[in-house]
Amino acid sequence: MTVDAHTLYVYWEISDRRRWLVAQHFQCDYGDMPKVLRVYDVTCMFFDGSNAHTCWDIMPGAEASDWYIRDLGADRTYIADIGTYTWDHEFIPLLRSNCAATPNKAPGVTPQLFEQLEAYSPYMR
Amino acid sequence: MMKIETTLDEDNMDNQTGAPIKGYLALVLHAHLPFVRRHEPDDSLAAQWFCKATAVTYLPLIKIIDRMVRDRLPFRLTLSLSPTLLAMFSDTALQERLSAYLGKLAKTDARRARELIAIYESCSRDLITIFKQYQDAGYIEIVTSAATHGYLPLMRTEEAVHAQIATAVRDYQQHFGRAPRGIWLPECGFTAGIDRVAKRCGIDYFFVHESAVTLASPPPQGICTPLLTPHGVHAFPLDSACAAQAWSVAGGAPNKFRRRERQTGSFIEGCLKQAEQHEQQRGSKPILVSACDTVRFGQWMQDDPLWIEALCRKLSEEGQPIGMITPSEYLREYPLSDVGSLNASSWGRNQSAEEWLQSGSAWIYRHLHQAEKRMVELASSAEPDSDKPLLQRALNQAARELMLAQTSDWAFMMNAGTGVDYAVIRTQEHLAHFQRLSEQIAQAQVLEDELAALEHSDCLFPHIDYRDYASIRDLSPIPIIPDRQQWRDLLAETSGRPQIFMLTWEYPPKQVGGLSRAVHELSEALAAEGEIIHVITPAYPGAPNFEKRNGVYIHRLPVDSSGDTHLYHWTFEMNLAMIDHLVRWKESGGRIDLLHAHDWMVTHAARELKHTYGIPLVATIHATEWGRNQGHLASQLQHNIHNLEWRLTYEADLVFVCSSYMKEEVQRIFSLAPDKVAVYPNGIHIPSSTAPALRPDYLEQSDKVIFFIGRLVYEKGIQVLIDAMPTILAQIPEARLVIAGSGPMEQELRVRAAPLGGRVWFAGFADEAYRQQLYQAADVCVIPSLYEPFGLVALEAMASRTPLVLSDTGGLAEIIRHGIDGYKALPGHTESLSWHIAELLQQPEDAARMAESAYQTLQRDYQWSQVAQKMRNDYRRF
Repeated sequence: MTVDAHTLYVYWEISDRRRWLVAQHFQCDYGDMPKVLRVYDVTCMFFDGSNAHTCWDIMPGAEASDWYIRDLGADRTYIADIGTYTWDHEFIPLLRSNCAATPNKAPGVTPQLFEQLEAYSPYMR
Repeated sequence: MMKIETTLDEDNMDNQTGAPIKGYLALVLHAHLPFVRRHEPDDSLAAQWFCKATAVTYLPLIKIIDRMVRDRLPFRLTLSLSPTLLAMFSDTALQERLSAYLGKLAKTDARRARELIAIYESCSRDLITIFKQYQDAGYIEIVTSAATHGYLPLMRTEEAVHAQIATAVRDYQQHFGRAPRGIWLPECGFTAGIDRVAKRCGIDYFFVHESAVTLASPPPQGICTPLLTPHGVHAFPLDSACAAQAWSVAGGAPNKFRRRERQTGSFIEGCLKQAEQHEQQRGSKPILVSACDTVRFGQWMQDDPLWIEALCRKLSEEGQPIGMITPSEYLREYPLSDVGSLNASSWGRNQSAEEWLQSGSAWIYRHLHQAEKRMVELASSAEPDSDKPLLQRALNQAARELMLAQTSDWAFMMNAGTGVDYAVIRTQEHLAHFQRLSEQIAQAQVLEDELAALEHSDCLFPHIDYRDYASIRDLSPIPIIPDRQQWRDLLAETSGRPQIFMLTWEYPPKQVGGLSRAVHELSEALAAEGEIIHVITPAYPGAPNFEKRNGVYIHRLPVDSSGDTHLYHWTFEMNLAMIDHLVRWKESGGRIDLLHAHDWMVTHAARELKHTYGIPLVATIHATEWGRNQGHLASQLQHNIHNLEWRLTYEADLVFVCSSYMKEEVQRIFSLAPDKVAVYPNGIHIPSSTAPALRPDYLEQSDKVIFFIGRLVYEKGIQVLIDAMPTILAQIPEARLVIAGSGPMEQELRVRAAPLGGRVWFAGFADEAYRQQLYQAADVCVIPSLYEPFGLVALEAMASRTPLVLSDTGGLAEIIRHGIDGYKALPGHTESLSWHIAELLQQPEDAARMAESAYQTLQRDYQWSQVAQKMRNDYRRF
């Protein structure tokens, strides 16, 4: 769900069946598995699980069933997975969300700021 | 009863002297209150609000409008009256309460109370009719708002948005005798798609925050003009500059009248400045839309309605450059606008949804969304039976309860921290009522007393129609079969007969190992015998997600995966997808009479479905991890796979294997009872006629071709064959080894074969046609496997009448008789292998005789139709 140009809200519910299957596959108590929220930037693309523009992981905590995803770009589209990690830190999605889009926001970068960034270029002689 | 005498003519648009108008002002007053339930006490929050707002806002508003109408002023107002407010205006019980409230007010402020009572009685307590008369006379335009003022962008389903708007439109028609042209979106909350739904309900325009237009794409030419959305609805941007001035808290000037004068003066100046700044290129006059939520009246200025009157009077004076107008009139004058896609926005803080979606109220949305989906299900599956009035009443009341829970005021209050308890109670109670009703409806057992009580208490929208919630796209419940008709046809053509579901991790066009082919041919053979077979397998790029091919229904399920996941975990993700799909299948009325699982990859899905629905399970073990590693399980992964195989055989009611060798193996390593394991050799389709295939051009005519085909892995024993070549070449220099197939050992084998130069040729992966060429070109086909549960390649060679030398191991050894159908060499033994191959190459007549005999054996024992027939008998046991 879209809150504002830089924030999305996501809620989830993992069914008992899913919890049981996870415990079976990883041979570990469901409560002991790490809960991971992976956010993908999928603006203007057909997402197949591995081709997002960017993605990053959030650890919402064992009891959480919702989260505010902050500091997002405006006018972008996102998908979120709730899942867990394997022993080798591979991400296994348990549920995948719908797409949500952030609205456009008036740009706040002024030209001067941009020039300042240029002054610190590593290629300067 | 007040009566409005004449309608205005259209020419009164310009002021009387004919001086040019620079721009238009549309003053919009948005009036909404959440619905008060009948049983609420007088001192409940909502009841209090209603009485106060009527006393402070609506009755005074009627008074000033009446005054301006009598004075024949050319003013225009746009009034948004939310349907819940209208419902309360027309409720007789509330009318009584209001009278009582005004009576009590007389004790504290007698003069004011007298005035208000006078206005109220002169309308015969019917505020709606008064407003209707003003609209019919042309002074005001009334727009509708969403049915219960739900915040539309945070709704989950299009059906819910549609129901809110359609109910509002229908309600408006009942009260005002005509269709509404415009709608006030609650909180001006807009997101892409709302315009489409509004258009479907006949709406021509709505209002949005300025930023929806300034940040639209493509960026608009001007902002003091409506933007036409791609779906054909006009969006009027609210002007922020004027609004800020008009409705802001005024200073504490002693003389109210003076303050008003100054304010209206500066307001008009502000409007003029805006209008001049935004002269439109196309020659249309700019329109400034200034909107206010009447809830704010009385909070800062008791006399806001008087301010409106002062403004209208001022603008009606001669020479005023700003004219008053309603949106409809503006659109009549300028029907064309620029087109653009609006930016999602609201008129809340930061133009965002944050005032309705924050820690205070976030918890409600999962419940509202679930209720929405439930309502859509109920509405879509209800038959339009007119002889079930109780059910229809229940459905309608359920719709009312859902909409009442969706009122945006509740979330706002929870986050603002005012009246939180009341908001929480209203939300919970309406959701609870909805829940009860939906359960009763689903079981077709509606309790009439309860229903009547709810209808009495939550009595709004008498013409509500639950069918507004009917699913817009008639989708089937199965995601990979979206067309409902296709789903119905599928159920119809398979009805009344048992259905077998094969779970396999690969199926053509996906072909990694031999499993794909084996399941493919088995499923088609069974279908040819008349069984209904569904194959459940993961999706493959380019292949359709659902199809019927050669009598087999193939379900290819998309698997949710993130990046490159290890195969072992990827199969878990695949199992999740299979389970979700099959559960949905069962719950939507599909049949699963038998599960047939193939190999360890589908264990989780097979087990879960078996235990959830009590479905009998049959498992085919094509090969074991134990066997593949010659009994040495080293890594954790190998142990895990072995465990899953064991588990599958444990859960299965019957286990199928492809050879006696395998039967012995699985009985031993999984401790299975002998009568639990049955042998079904893999079969083959013998082509009726083999067209002679071209000899591949890299083979010389004189070459004696030794052919190997298979996966290049250790257990296939290609390394033994390569080592046997020098001995063979010593006797038969024209011998040439052709190796077809791919696999992890390829590089190693190339290195091993390098000294033999051109006598060993790697042909790569061979498709159907190429394989045929190679079998026909071959003088002998060799299968040197170290571990082989079956050996499909042997059957292929026999079908092409290619002479055969194979390892005397595993299931492979059971296929031919030594010396009759071909030769069996000692497994892993280079000399045995080279001796037999050389024999065959040097005795072509013997070779041909054995190949013919092999062909006869094939026809007798290895046809898929026979296998399928026998397997059906085993299926019948369940």
